[in-house]
Amino acid sequence: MKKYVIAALLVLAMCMTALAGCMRFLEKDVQVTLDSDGENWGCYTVNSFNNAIVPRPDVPEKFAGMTFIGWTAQENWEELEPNQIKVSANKEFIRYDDVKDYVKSGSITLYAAYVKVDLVIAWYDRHTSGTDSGLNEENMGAFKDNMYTYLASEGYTPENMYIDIRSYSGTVGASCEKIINDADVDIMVGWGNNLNSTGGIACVEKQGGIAIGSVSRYAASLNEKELTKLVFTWIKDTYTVNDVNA
Amino acid sequence: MYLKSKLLKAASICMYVFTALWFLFAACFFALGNYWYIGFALFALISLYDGFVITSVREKMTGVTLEKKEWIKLLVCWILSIVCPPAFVLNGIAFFRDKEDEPQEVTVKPAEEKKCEKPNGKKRFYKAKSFITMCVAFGMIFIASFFAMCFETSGFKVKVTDFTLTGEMTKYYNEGKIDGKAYVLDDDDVSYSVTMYVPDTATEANPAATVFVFPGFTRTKATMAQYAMELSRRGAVVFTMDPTGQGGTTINSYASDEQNRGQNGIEHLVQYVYNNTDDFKFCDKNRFGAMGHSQGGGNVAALAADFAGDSFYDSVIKSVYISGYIKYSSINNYQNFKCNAGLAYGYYDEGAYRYQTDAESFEVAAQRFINENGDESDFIPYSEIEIDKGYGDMANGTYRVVHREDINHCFEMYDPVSIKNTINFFNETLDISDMGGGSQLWFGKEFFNGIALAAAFTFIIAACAVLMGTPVFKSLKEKPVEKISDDEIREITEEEAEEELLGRTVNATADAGMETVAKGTHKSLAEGIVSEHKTVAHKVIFWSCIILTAIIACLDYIPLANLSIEIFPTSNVASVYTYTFPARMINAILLWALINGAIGLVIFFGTTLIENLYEYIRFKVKGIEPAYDWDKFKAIKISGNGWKGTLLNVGKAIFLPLVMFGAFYFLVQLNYWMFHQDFRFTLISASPLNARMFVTALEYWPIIFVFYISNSIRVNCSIGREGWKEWKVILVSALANSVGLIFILIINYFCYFTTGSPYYTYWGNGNEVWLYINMVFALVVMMFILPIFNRLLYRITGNVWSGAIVCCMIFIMMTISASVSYIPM
Repeated sequence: MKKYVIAALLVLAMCMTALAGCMRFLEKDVQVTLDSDGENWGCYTVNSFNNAIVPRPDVPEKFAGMTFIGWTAQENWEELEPNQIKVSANKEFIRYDDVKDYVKSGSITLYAAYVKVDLVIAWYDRHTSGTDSGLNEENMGAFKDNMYTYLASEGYTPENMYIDIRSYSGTVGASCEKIINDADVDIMVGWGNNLNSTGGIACVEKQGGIAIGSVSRYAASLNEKELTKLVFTWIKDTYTVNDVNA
Repeated sequence: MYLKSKLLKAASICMYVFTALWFLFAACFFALGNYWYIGFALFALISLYDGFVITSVREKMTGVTLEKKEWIKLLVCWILSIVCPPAFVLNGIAFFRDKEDEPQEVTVKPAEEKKCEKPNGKKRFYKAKSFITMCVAFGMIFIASFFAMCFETSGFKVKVTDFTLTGEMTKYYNEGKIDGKAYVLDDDDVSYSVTMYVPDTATEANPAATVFVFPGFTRTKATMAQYAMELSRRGAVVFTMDPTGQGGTTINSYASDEQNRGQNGIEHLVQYVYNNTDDFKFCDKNRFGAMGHSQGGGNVAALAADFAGDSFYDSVIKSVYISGYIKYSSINNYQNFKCNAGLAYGYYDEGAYRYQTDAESFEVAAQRFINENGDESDFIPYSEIEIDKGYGDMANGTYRVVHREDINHCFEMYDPVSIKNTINFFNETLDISDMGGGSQLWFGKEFFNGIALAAAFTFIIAACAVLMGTPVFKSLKEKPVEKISDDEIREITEEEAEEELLGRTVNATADAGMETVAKGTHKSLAEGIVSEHKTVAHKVIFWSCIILTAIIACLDYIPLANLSIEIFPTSNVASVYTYTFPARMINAILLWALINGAIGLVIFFGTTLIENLYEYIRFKVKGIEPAYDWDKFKAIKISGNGWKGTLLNVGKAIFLPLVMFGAFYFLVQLNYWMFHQDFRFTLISASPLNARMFVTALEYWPIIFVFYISNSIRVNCSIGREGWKEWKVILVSALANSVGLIFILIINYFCYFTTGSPYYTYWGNGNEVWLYINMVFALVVMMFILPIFNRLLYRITGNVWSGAIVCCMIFIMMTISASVSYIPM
């Protein structure tokens, strides 16, 4: 019996050694081809341990006035409503996670998606012992409903608009860097007072004491578009809990 | 019938193997969030229990033709064994076999003869095995440490010394401000523990390149000794230091001011060495380099940026190597370097899941690292980066290289390729040596330190045996003197048999090939009869308890780690210094040990109660004589002659481990004084005591002890009473105690290698828990060793307490010394 156990342990050790050597074979490479309105924007390889930095495409003439919102696996994205287009988490970065559910035979084509963006609101998805934005999908969902109701009362038809309410996670620096890279955010909610100093954000207006969630944080508007000013004013009027200004 | 029995035996073994395989499958599917894991877990249990029943059928066979009851059992088992295809085939063949075999010669294997010492042993104490073992182990410690010292000093060509960097020292040399900043320690109570490696070739006339090597979070400077060794043997002066709150560094608060923190102390050290022209004339101030891993990598990146000056010529740090750290704040420092720089990030670094955006990822960090090189000429940024390729010009401090070794985060500093890349980088950028980085000898030190560690543990166990032979402690194992009844005589017989290696006795009857196992737990030990209900039902309870405790230990580790972050003052917010459980990472182990230890005790006492209750009910209902097993509790009790004797023995049972703990750490300290070596092997180490870590341990010992006594009771009062050979008791105990943690690693890394993200990433309120998995590597080894120690020490001392106490004290002291403590001392 003792010999069998020793033999079993030896076999186990050999298997583990062999497995360690085979780790690379568990990685499944995916060939990603980028397509922007029929034009090839490069071919990249990603796998579970390798991502790809990809270029941001120039907006084709056909989509002039629209904004590049990301890469999508949906070939028929032009036929979909803007809110139905599923795009990658990053515009200039393709992860294995972005493509793994759509891969066929080890390759996939991603298409640059362009929509007319009416408004982009960024919310800070950060919940650590040191920093808690107080925002989550649930309270941002309620926020969205309230905002739609307000816009409707102002004569807008939000159901036909592309209003992107998206989360940003990570440290203040990293999340703000991403916002800068995305270059399409109009309003930020949930960050602290250091979104300028640490985050490097240049904002038009900033106000604290805004409690969309459970915690009083800051909100900032990043441009002077009419819709931006309208919604930002509404946020201040609706969610201010204490008079804390920048 | 002979072949039939063999077939059934083979089938049962296959089923046990498949039990392990099905549990492995269950873990893998659990890791992927697939609910099929429940099915695989059920298969595993069916396979296990089926194997028990098949074994029971085989043991009761008296011929090829089975009794009706047994035949039905075998039929059902055969059907259920579909979960194990090889067993299904074997059981099927056995089921239909109805031919008698040719008569076999019956060979009677005599019971193993007990090797015993002469009664009333006249053997001299120095001839006793334990004394010889103790002396040999003692010698091994020092011989191994001597060889380790030879490796560390590169054959005595490098002088290795320790010193303490104090506030007073930094203030004395702050006149030579660096970029207008002083980098002094304001608080005179703060001190940093530093080790300096000075090769013979480094002199005032021939100053050498100087490299500062900085460990990461929870690590001590000793864990970076391999870099220090390899660089110093090539001619560089090396400084390693314990960061704030770690190792021998003392600090009573965490200054919020960046300058006072000095990047966990490294800036204070560099400033001190740079400005101290009295003591460090052998350091070439024009060839300073710095290297750090993980948090240490972030610290040296900030160091290089803070000490950059206006140009490569002005920069204090001429070369910086950042390992395992790509946080956004560090990436932003790249543009501020005025020095040559290397970046390494393990291909399998578990922490990479946090960096998966176009602002913060390895790919982005690598690209920015190469491109933001301070080159103010017509530099065209690279759009694609090649790993391992050098970019830029060393002569003007714009050299950049990125490495990505096939290693994970916590083992990167033990990876030969990682070390080679680091050495080659400094060789080239600081012009240290032509000796390539591939020529490495650090593993010699690691090997001999490991031998010393093993020898130290052996010494402690042997010393315990020697002490137990002395008049002071002898009474601990002696039975109380009182009138002995017939029952007690039988008990003594069982105890003696239990202490021997029980062999198997083969019944020399017509049932050739059958064996019966003498169970030490049963009153009918001498007769060697095993009753059915004890065999199958007992096995089911026994192994189910082991599986249950392993599953609980596996699944509750990370939730409890997360809970520790939430409930203790020192959590992910490192700036809280407190006397209340200040060892941030050990708090997870504290909760885990307490909860699982308590569960172990409940299960042990609970199952014993239930088993004896069952015996009572059988007696009442069927009139069958009950076979109570209260003997399990005997080893828990410390007895003595009267209450005074008992009290004295309790005191001895506590005093003995204290002596052993003292002896162990005296050896550690003596070894360090003589050879500058502690006892270690990679992530497991026993380093010299310091006040802050000792005081920290005082808080943790009483609570974590619950786990240790629980394990000692399980090993000696449950597993140890199964009537197995001693090696099997030890093996099963070791596996039972560590398999839960092993499955944590299986779940985490199966998910990691399949999806690219570890299973344990964020938990609860977005708390990062991946570092707690890194801790499991060392924990698995210690949990494997613990039952072995508990068993050996029980056999020596005759009680479950002494072994548990000494193991708790030594293992927890080792763990805390190798971690971080925010105690304000």
